[in-house]
Amino acid sequence: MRNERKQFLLYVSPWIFGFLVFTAGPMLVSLYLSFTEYDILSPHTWIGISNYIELVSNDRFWSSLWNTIYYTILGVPLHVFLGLMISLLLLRAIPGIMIFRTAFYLPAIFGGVAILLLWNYMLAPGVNGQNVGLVNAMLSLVGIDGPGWSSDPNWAKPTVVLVKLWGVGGSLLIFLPALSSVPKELHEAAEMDGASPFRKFWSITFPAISPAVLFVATMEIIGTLKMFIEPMIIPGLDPAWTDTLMIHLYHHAFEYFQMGYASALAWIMFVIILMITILNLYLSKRWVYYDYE
Amino acid sequence: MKRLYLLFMLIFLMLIAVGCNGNADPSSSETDSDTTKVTFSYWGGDFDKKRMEAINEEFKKVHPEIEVELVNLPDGEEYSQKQTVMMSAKTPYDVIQFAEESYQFASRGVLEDLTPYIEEDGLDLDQFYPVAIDAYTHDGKVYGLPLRVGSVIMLYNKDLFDQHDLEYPNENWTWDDVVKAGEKIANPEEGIFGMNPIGGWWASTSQTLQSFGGGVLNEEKDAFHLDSPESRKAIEFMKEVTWDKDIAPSSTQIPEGIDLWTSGKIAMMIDGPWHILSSQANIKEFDWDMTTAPAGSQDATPIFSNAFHMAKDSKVKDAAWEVIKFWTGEEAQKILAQEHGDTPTNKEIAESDLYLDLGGKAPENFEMMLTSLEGAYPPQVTSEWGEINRIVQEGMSKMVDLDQPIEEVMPGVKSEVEALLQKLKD
Amino acid sequence: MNNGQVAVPMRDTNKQHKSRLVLLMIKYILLIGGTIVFMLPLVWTLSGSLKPNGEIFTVPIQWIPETFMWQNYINMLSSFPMVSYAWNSMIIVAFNIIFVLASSFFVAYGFARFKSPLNGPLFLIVLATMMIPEQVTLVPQFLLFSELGWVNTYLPLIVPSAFGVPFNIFLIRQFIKTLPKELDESAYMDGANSFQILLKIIAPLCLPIMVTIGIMTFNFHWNDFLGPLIYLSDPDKFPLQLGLYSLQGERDGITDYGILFAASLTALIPPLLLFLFLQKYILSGIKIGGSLKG
Repeated sequence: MRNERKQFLLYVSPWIFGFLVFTAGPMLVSLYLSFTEYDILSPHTWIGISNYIELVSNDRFWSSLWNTIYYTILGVPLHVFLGLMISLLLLRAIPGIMIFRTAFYLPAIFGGVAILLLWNYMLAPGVNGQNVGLVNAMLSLVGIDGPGWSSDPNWAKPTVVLVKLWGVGGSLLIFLPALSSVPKELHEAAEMDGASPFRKFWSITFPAISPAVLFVATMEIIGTLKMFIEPMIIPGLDPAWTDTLMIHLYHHAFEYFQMGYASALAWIMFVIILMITILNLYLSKRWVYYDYE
Repeated sequence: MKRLYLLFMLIFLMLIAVGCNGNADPSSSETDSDTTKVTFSYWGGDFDKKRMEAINEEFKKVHPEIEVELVNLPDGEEYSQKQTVMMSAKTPYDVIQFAEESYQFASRGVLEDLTPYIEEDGLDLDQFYPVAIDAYTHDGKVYGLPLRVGSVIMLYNKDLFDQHDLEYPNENWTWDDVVKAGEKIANPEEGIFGMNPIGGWWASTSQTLQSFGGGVLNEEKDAFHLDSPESRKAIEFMKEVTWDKDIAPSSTQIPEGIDLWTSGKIAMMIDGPWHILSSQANIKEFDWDMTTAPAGSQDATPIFSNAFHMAKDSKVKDAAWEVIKFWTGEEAQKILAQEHGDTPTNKEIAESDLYLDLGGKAPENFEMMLTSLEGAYPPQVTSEWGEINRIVQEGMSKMVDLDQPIEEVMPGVKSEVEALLQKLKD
Repeated sequence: MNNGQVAVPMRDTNKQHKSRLVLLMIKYILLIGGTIVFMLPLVWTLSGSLKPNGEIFTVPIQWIPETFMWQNYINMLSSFPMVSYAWNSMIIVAFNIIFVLASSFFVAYGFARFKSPLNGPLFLIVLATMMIPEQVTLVPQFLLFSELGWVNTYLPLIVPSAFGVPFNIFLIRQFIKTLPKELDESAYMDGANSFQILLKIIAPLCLPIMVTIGIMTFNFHWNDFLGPLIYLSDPDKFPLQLGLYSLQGERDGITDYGILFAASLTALIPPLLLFLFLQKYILSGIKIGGSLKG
């Protein structure tokens, strides 16, 4: 018995070490730093809560916070909904299914700078009908005069959401196995009772896959709250339209080297993310069914 | 089981070894006993790369005992970021090219004072343009030596002027002349513009402000000056040419995939001299020439340059000094002169035919490069240069590029800059 | 939802057959439409990478270039250090995959198979750290690595992986838990120790989840941008994503779109190949359904 405990500790010790050195320790250091001024070339000085005061009086903090929340509220539900719809379409093995699955999943693995740089050009609004990127050129085929995307204050944020949605296929990895593990008998029984497809989905499929839905939603929320690369590569004409908290943090930490301010920001972000995650998990009790199986 | 753990640690150690090897650690230079390695970081495009390598070839002949590793870093803010990161890790590049950030780093004590080296070698600073040396002299100490200087100039497309029967611009032109000619030439529907959008980086902004008698800071560099009546007039002017008169393209009017100037869609290009080299390489379809930047209520040409500095934490300072000396010396100046681009800081070489004779190539009025240096003024550097410049540029971009009202943007810019100025006083 | 209507079972099988056919057609229309929307950006890029600069942004789009500019790809290789960037990416990715798999598997085995009063609480911390955004630790981690002199090396991008990644620990633990414990027990009877069991019995069975995590790790680090952006200075150490980013922002050079398109497209090939070769594992590795509580 004691041997088993020892072995447990031995096996998990790399993680414990990593947790202390790379997570817990740094978090405490960061808390301390948030009360100091530190530009990494000169020694740091204790300045109390000045960083927090500066933070709440900084317009860019508020606009980044709003943008981040905007992406979460608009982007996450769209992501989960579309991901689920596509997974339902791709569930049954109809002829050509592998081609379709590949087509929808592929964009998810192309997440880096490369593809985002290209999106910049695809979204080029053009000037006087010339030098138009892919998207507006396609829209003009169906008679729509496309918007200015990143250069339009009203479209800059939706643009980021849309570009991110291109990678919605990533949720197939979670949804497809979950959907295929829903027992067929339940569906057949429901069909006998004459349930409509819609009703079947809500009363049988959805409860069965609700843990997977929660999982995708949670991961997506966390991912969106720390979104960085998309608005960094596809910024609005005025970056304040699109910047996220993470970008705000990056600028202050690694461009202006205000490590104290950045640490204060990191802690505020941590608290916000923690609250949203707890809220999400709390609300999920109403619609996620763990007792299924 | 213990074996696995050992294996695990072994792989980990191996990795560290690999990583350290791959880490061409700039400070561990005495790997080879007979050569000293000096790392030299700079920014720039293909022309700069070629020049630096050409100078390095010459350097090798004179100093076979020193191996210079040239590191081309991304320019702009990213450049000073990388330098800060390397310095904070105590592994700085030995020789560092800096421009306006020079004072900012010098004031934080991470750069070496070059004055003792200069005195010991009896290096004559009078051979350089005084304004170029002044820009890198902080509190009476010289921190960097420059190779090239430049100023804001105006390039113009002769063909577009000919089409409208207009006289070519000359060194006496004012903004009024530019606007008059620009209005005749501009045809936004066809994508033809009178001039490029001005501003977007410190020297261009400063040139416009100064030509109206304004500026970002006052002369003592202790008060915010961007909201003075003169500065406001300059900002109004910049907004006007883009938005009311549509002489300059707004950022949404600049199409993807096309460089407006080299493709002949802009009549007057008021910007840095690096456009000369790229124009010579890329313009084939029209004739062009150059003159000095236009004046407003007064002439204004901010000088910009860059200089080679030495890191305080460098472990090969003597070798680094040899590198800096050579890179600003006669051979290097001559290599630069033959490009006919930026002006060499060595007066004698700058005024020689080696630099001024283009052998019939455009621009014909190349000697304007020297004219524009007369009476040029250095940038308003403070130890918070980077921060102030960023805040001002962001504010300018909102007012000029996005046409937001001055009254809305200015208070925020003012309070941020004044907070920094206050910090400088404390 | 109209309950009255659905209560009546459909009797006419012919009608049912027809409506199924209609449904199938709608499905195909949606799938084909979706495929076009999702694939168009790649097709457009491919076509753009084979055009001269001036022809990329024309309306209407000319999908097939008039003359194929293979030169763009040749120019890319000669003027952009594509190969060296890709090699750097590969090094970072390879070390990460090895470390992530080894350490996460090792730790997950501990959580999945050994009883200890600490097991529950510690696993809860693992789950909690999945929720901790890395930005809280970004600044102090940077200061730590800077203090160690690891700046401008790959170490900050690799070493943290050697201590288990919470998300992967979680996934592997879930997977091991679904394996019957009798396997371990009979091996113990035969005198094997826990490490031998881990290596000889558990590891082979975990292949699907390991491949899945391997692919996820590959994609994450292949696409990682923030880490290299913060830690790397020398351009000859840049991974591909950072190299592409710097190609974008040259001040005095005029962007060559052909090269940019060609380079971006080439950067997508490794993840694509990996996906195509390991496709069958990707859709069978993850088991989340109903087992979050463990």
